[in-house]
Order: sequence, then structure tokens, then C-alpha cells
Amino acid sequence: MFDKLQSTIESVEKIGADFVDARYDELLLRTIIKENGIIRECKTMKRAGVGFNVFYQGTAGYAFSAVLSRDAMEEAAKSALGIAKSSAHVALIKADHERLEPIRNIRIKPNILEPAWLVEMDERLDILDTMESSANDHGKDISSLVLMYGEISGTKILTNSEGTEIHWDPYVLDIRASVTSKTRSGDLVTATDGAGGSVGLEFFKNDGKTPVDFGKNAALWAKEKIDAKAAPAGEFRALTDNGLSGVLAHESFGHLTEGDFIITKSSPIHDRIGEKLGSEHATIIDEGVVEVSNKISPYFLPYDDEGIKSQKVTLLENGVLTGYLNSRVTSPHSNGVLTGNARAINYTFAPIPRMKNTYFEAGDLTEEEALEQLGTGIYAIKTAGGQVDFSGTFLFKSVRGYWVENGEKQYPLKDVTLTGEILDFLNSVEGATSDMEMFSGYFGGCGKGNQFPLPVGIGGPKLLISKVRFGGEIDKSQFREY
Amino acid sequence: MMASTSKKLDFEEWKNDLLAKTDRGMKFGKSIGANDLELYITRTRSLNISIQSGLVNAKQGGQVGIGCRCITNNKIGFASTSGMSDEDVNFVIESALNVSKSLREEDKRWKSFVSNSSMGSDGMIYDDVVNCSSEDAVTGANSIFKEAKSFDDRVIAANGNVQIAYGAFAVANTEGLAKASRTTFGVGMSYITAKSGDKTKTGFHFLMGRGVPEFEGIGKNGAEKAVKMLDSQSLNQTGEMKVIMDNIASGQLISVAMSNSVNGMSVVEGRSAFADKIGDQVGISSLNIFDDPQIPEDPNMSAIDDEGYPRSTKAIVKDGVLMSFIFNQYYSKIFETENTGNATRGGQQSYESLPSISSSTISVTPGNKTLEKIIEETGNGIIVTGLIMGMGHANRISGDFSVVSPSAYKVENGEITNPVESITVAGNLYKSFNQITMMGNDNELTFLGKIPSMAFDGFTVSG
Repeated sequence: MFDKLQSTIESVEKIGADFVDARYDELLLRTIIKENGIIRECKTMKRAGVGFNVFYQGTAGYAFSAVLSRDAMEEAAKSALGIAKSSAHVALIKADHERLEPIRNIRIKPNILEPAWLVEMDERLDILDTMESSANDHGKDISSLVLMYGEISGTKILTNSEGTEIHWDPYVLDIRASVTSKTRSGDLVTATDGAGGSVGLEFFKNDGKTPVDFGKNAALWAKEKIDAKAAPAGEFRALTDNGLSGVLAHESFGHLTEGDFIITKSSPIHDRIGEKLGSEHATIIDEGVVEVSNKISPYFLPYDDEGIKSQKVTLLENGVLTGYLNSRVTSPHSNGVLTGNARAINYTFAPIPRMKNTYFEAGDLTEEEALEQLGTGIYAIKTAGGQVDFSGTFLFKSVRGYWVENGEKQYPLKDVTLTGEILDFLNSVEGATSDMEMFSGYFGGCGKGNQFPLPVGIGGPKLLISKVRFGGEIDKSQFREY
Repeated sequence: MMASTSKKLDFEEWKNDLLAKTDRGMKFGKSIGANDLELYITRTRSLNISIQSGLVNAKQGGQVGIGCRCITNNKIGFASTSGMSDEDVNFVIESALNVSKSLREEDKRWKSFVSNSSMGSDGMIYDDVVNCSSEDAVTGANSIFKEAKSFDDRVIAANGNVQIAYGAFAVANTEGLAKASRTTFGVGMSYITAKSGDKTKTGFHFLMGRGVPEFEGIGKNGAEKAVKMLDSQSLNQTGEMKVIMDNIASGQLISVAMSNSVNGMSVVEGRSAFADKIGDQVGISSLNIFDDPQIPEDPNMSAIDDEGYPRSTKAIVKDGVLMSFIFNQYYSKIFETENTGNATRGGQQSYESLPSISSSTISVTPGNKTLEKIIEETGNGIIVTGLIMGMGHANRISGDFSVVSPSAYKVENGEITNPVESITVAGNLYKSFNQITMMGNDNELTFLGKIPSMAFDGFTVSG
């Protein structure tokens, strides 16, 4: 396949292409969803194709093909060149490919012991059944029980006009249990537990991360929510758990640093490098390969889809804006740093600037110390999603929570909504815990320009926040939904 | 000229090509013991051009893929792949068969694949879509962008977008069914941001159909909407108000109201507000809502649904009375009723989806008043235009909604006066069917359906 891609590149270079990125994706996806005792979906899906991003006078045209014959590939590359040629005279922002040394003969696989793609179907069904019986053992007034298993494996081949040759294997395994219980008034309350990432099945033997734990936790948390109280509305001190802190880093800050939003000036921080935007406790990193000690390796991403080695990028350092996330197209027009953030969800899309694994850097607090410093306020846990806009306004719904007084958890809360401006939020960070927890998913991921769900690593430490608004209304236009 | 003639002739052969592939696949399935089998093959070509403030995103390509369901002892296996070579077809059949054999619990509700030989009508094929070159599409997108940019100095960002696609799909199963359908599609859109002082407003406009749309006016209309909103003032009022919704806003309300309430799956699983309301008066007596996959100008017009069942126009609400739910094969059997031909394989790779249930195109019988006349007769209130935020978060079981409209205007003494800052509009999806006071004659086709503008009483507005 590498040779076929290379000869296709040469053939369009002969007829005028200035630079070509070529990619082959072959992904195998497996979904199993069991709902109330019935297998609702059991699917095996193969996605394979090639894509060519062809540059002519600084303008790109992208074309793809699921047919993998030499003729079909050449036709796709030529049609990409055709689009680039017809667009060249209207493009005001041009790519400028500085020639790089080719990266040759890279073959990388994620470092795992028991890859999920090798096991028999029985083993996957066992995982779902174990979660199911554990949930049934611990739940109360369960009205619906959903067990999910999702797996992506496969390989990517990346090459370009420079002769780069990279083969690497993307991989995600995601296991979840979701329990819905009925309250006395007939309302439904849902809780979910699970984990996902570039991890082998061995990960699910760790304490707190077994299928038994997921079923039990989902059931107990749903049970706890039966009697939960509504969160008070207003501004409070807050502790955000690892998952929610990660989503805040990703959704409300990370997107604002993406190169395409920087060069089209759509981001409110497109011209603020070097400025202090947050408190000294706020440091945000985006990185391709993260090893979170003893816990989970979130998303393994050694190279981006333009064949650039993924860098550790410090976006915010002790509150100061220090980086943007670039592709080869955006880098010369933003801050000139190639970060390896050009990603495409599959062969039908051209790579655009996306995040990798994005997180707040850990601090030195224990959870107890963080609760003690919190004093009185809300401990908000996990999120089911929310909305953010380009002005930095965010709204997230946290799915669990506790009211805390004098450093002690008092009672559980129903879903709570957090709203605010990201820059206010960054200024309100008082500290972070030392425990890191990160994940990436098969069911859900990052969405941008129709490319959803792209696996990204999300998480971080718990964050202590001096002030955030709970239960407010949104009144901003231009929200993007997640 | 030669090239375009051959593209057109090639597209004419797609249905037969796909049917030949399903036919060979069915024989292969039989040879390996897959006795209860369904194949779905789809092939599309698309061209997308977006010009965003001078940054061009342009792509073209062909998607082909196969989805296969295989049943072994009431256990449903599914496999899919991109591509459609003989090896690809064999791979999905073998994989789906293996999945079905490896499952443990039977799905006792499973009955059968679709067995039916009739078809609805396919829509017109527009050659201008098949023949549209990347130059044509780039020129179109650029003209939208330029028209918007030059409309007013306050336009700071403009996005001109053109999407052209054509495709075909075929379905075959071991009940003897083998059918195929083709369509063409074109849309032109503008997304505009205008800024004045601290105020940033957006506007959008689009034209869609089965052919390549007329690009003139798309950029200007979007820009005009954004610029107008820059004069917005705070409403400073809260309470019940007369609310007019233009056809995009009412389209969102009606399509969300129909998305769960009449969906056969929700009905079977006890999550529909209309579950026991067939034959009941659910709306005003002039309200007629159809599930309508047979509108000639609609890219969605198709002879069959995604399981091969014939598409036809169904009255869901007639003279305000709830007449019917919508079903695919699986849920119609559970509910012991007629299939309505609403099986849908959603998503960007439709061949990767199991058939679910969704409305085809929703149409509402228009009234006889122009929007101007509705505004005049309303006297005082609010008109909500274009996209509203948060309708997707409405509670589809209770029907309660609270949405934000970024582009609403005040109506005073029968005339639109000034635009207002974002307002919240709250009400109930299902009660709204009885709160309609007027319907417009402007039921043009949009991506939300063929739904006219409407006026309502009883919504709560705050801003």
C-alpha cells in the first residue's frame, strides 16, 4: 500500500501538484450494546480507504476513495489536484510547506498486553454479563440497564511528497455500564461508570476498574441519586473531579487554541500569546503519548495525520498563554510551531487542527486537603456534555455532585449545571490535586466540522475553584453543541 | 462534453450494478448457510466546498459500503465494510453470520425481514448535479462568500458553502426482496458574522433541492440577517406573549415534536407522550401533519425505505386527530401493525447502521396567509426567525421546552419594529399543537421539512 500511495503521489506531482499528503486508514470497529437483557446491537465494522490532500499554489484539495485499485487512487488524487487548481485563485490564506526531513520506517503499536481485537466474542459478552449481574445485585428500582462495549483497532499508513513512511496502529477499548432508577415521584435518574483508552483487557483487572466495579458503581450512584437534592443556584466555591476538569480543559479552553480558529481570528485568544490569562495554578498541556501512572493510558497518538511526530505542547503555563495547536497549514500563520495536531477521523476527511490528550497539570493536594480547602461549596463530578462558544462562554451539566460544608460531604446532588467564562474560570483555579485520571472513548469523543466522535484523551487532576456559577441560564448565541 | 455524458450514463447504471452485487451476495450467503440474510449496499459521490473568510476547504470523493444483517435462531448479527468488491461482500456476510452464531440470548421479538414487492416513486434525477465540476462548485461558493462580504462593512466573517451529491442504494434479503433507489442533491449556504462595537451577530441562509441551486442571493440574505440584528435592543419583558415563528423556527419545533412522540420504537418502549392517543384530538382542527417521502422537489424522495419497504405519504395528524405512528419492520411486528416504511440507516456511513425509525420528510398543510398578514393580524408580540438554540434539549417525553432565539424581532401594531437581544421562549411541544392561531402559506422545503410559518398563543417569553 505504501508503494501504491507513493506512485500516486508521483503521478500527480508530474501534472502540477506542489505537495501531497497521502494516508491509508484501515479500522475495525466493534460495538456491543445490551439493553435490559437484549443485545440491541452487535456489530463488526470495517472502514478502509485512502485520502489525498493535494496542494497547488498553497491551496489544498482533498479527495478520497474506498476503492483501493491503482486507477481509483490515481483518479482520487487527480480530482484533489483539480479542486486545488480551481480553488487557488479564491484562497486568501495559503499553505506554505517548508520542506522537512522525511521520517522513514516508523512502525509503532500501542504498548498493551492483552489487545481486545484478539479475543473471542465470548470474552466480550462475559464482560457485559458481569457488569449486568453486578448492577442488578447493587441497584434499587432499576428501570433500565445498558451495558456497552466498544473497540477500535487497525492501522494507518502515512506518507507525503517528502517520502515519509509511518505505519502506526490506533486503538481504543471502552467499557461502560449505565443504570437508570426510578424515583418515588416517577422521575428517572441515571448514573454511568466505565473506562476507556488505549488499554488492553489487563487494565480492567485493576482495583476499581473491573466490570464488577462498573456495574456496582453505576447501580449505587443511581440509587444515591434517588434521594439527591437539587443543587442551589448561584456562585459557589467548587471542586471539579478529574473528568469534569478534563472536559473544561478540552471544550472551553483547548478549542480556542486550535490553529484554524487562530489564523481566521475566530478565537478570542488569537493574538494573546505571552499574556496572563489564568492563575498561577493553571497549567494546561496537550500531548500525544501520555502515561498516567498505574492508571490509564488515555489516547495513544504518536504521529498526526500529516506524519508529524506529536509534541508535548504547553498551552498555558502558570496562567500564561504559551502555545497553539497547529497543522502544517496553520503553523506558518499562527506561532510557527509544528505540534502534530493535524487529525482526521477517517479517510473521508482532510486533517484539521484537533486536540490529542489535553489536561491540567497535577498539583500537590490530596482529595482530603482539597475538600478541606474547599470549605463550603459544591463537589461536581463528571459531565454528560454541554455547550461552549467562541467567546469562551461555557455551560456544562455535571451528572453527580455533593454539597460540602466545612470540608465534609453533606448530601448528594442531582445534575448540576456549571456556567461561566473560561478566562474567569482559569483565574479562579486555586489548586489541583496530585491524582491524575484520564480516559478516551469509543462512545463519544470530540466533534468538529462533522468529524465526530474523534478519540481524544480527557481528564487530569481535581481542581479547586474559588468561584463558579451553578444553575444559571445561557443567553449567548453561536453555541456549538456537544 | 464527452466526460459529462459518460458520467451521466455511468450513474444510470448504478442501480443495476448494486443489484447485481446483492444478487451475487445472496447466492454466496446461501452457499455458506446464511439462510436469513439482508444486504444493504450504498454508493455516493459528493463534492463539498467551503470558503471561510478566504480559507478554502474543498473535498470530493466516493463512498461505497455494505451493511449485512444475518439471523441465526433469533440472534441478530451485523457486519459492515467500506468498499463493494466481491471479497468485501463475502467478508460482511461471513462476519455477520459469525456474530449471529456467537451470541447467547435470543431476541424473541424478532420476526422477519421485509417481504414486499411494491415500490413508491423515486424523484427526478438532475443531470446538473451529476455533471457539476469542482470549478462550478468553487465559483458558486466564492460568489456566495463575495456577495456576503461586500454586502456591508460590518460583515467580519463570511462562509460560503456548496454541497453537491448523488447516490444510489440497493437492498436485498432472503425473503426474495431486491430493490434499489437513486437520488441527487444540491445545497448552497451562507454563514455570516457581523460586528459593530461590542456586538457580534450571526445570520445564515440556504437553498436546497434535487438540483444545483441558484447561488445568487444566498450570501446577501445571510449577511442581511446578521447585520439587521446589530440594532438589537433588550426586550426587558417577561411573560406570556404572542409568538410568530418563521418556517425555519416552526420547522424546528414541529420536527422535534414529531421525533419521539410518533416514533414506533418510543411507543413500544413506553417513552412516547402520544402512546395511547391514536384517534384523539391532539391539535387544532386545521392541523394536518404528514410523513411525506414523495415530495418531488425533495432530495429525500425515495421509492423505498432503508429496508426496502415501499415509501408512501402517511397522514400522522389529520384535522387535528392523531392517525398513525411510524414504524420499521422490527417494531411494526412487535406492535402488530403495518410497517410504514420509515426504516432509516443514519449517520455519515449509513451502511454501518442498523435500521432505526425516523420521519422521512415532515409536511404540514399550509394556511392561506402570507407571513406579512400574520404579523399584521398578530398586532403585538414577538417573531422568532431562523435557527433557535436548545430545541434539541427539549424534554421529548413531557414536551417541555425552553429555547434561546438569537434572532427575534418585536412586533408592534401589526409591524416588525426592532430586533431584540437573545430571548428565551418556553412552552410545551405537544400543547403547542392546540396553541396555533395562524398558519402561513410559505411552506417551502427546507432541511426541516415542508412546514409553514406559524403563530402561537401561550408561550412564555423572557429577555
